[in-house]
Amino acid sequence: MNKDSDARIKLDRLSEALAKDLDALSDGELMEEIAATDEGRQKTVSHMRSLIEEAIATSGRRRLAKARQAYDAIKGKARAKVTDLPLDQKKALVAHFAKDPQALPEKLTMAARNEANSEADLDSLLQDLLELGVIDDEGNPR
Amino acid sequence: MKLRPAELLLKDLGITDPREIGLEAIALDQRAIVKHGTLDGCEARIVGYGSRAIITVDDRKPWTRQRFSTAHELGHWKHHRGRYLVCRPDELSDLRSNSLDPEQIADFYAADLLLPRYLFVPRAVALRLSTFEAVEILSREYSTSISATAIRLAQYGPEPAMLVCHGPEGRKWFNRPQQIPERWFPRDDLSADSSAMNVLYGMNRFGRRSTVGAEAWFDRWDASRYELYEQSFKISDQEVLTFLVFTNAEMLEDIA
Repeated sequence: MNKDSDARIKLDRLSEALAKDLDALSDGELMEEIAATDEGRQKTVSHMRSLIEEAIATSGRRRLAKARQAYDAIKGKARAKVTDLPLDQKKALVAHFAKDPQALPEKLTMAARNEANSEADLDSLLQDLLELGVIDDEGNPR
Repeated sequence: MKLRPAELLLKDLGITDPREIGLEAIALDQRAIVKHGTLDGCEARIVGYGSRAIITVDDRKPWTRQRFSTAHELGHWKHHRGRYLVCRPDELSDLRSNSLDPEQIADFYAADLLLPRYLFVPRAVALRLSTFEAVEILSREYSTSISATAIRLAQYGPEPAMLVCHGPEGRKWFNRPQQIPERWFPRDDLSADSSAMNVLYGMNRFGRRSTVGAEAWFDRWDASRYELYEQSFKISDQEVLTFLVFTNAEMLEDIA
């Protein structure tokens, strides 16, 4: 990491910490603080606040741009072998994880407004389980 | 205004304009990949393992519906990590009445993510009226459906308004913001005096906002004393949405 990016990260962290402090104040507390000072100070506070908010927004936008690049890089991956298994085996595999998700080393999350009934839905579900590292390419639990 | 989780996330990401609400990138920031493909059994699904997840959305649905489904699954990812929430459609109606229903929690998260109040409220107030003309403008700006946008406008719009959805068989659902007292409970059937009937069975997609006696919408002894604005919008051949705007302050008073 070079000096410039290190300094930028530190500045981002400082900006976020300052903004969080300001955000923690209620509107009333903020107005009280501002009312106790003169007009020049009020302008400074408002200027500082907008600088900090802009710094947070800039840092957030960088985070979002990085995520967009990562998404473009992973689009369109190849189809897994597990989808070539007989339908009954595929159903049994999915049922196994649905029945006992606690047996896995990490927490499994699943939400859908219906069970996967069609073979195409099962295939895409198995593909997801493979990509997440729950099963290997042949459908064996990892 | 205390920001809710989805709004805090958008703020953290520096989002200051609705066009910046790119769900695929936001999801990736949360370590979830969004895939658009074919799903036969449901509109969308999330599978997560540890801290990573894959969201699949049926790409045959309208784009605004896909966006809502994606945001809904992100709601599950935020609130229901490590849980198995696969249910049949007949189980859903039982859960819907429960405020702890995970589907409802995910719906609220989706609404906050797609139509965050810190951006939506100032814009909606600037449009001055709770009408379907305003809904169309906002739904274009936020890439959201007419229904989702209209619900948001009823809740946080410039006027006290209730949103009611009817089909040929009667009332399907309604959304009443907190400022409207509970005694105003919309009728099941559509009154012949209401312009909603013409919109549901007519050729026009939506009617003009007009004044109507409150008794056309509410089966209460005192309803005939009041008038309100109504405006209807046909969202499909089988469904019409109506904004009921409460123009009389007495109607908004709480009566012990």
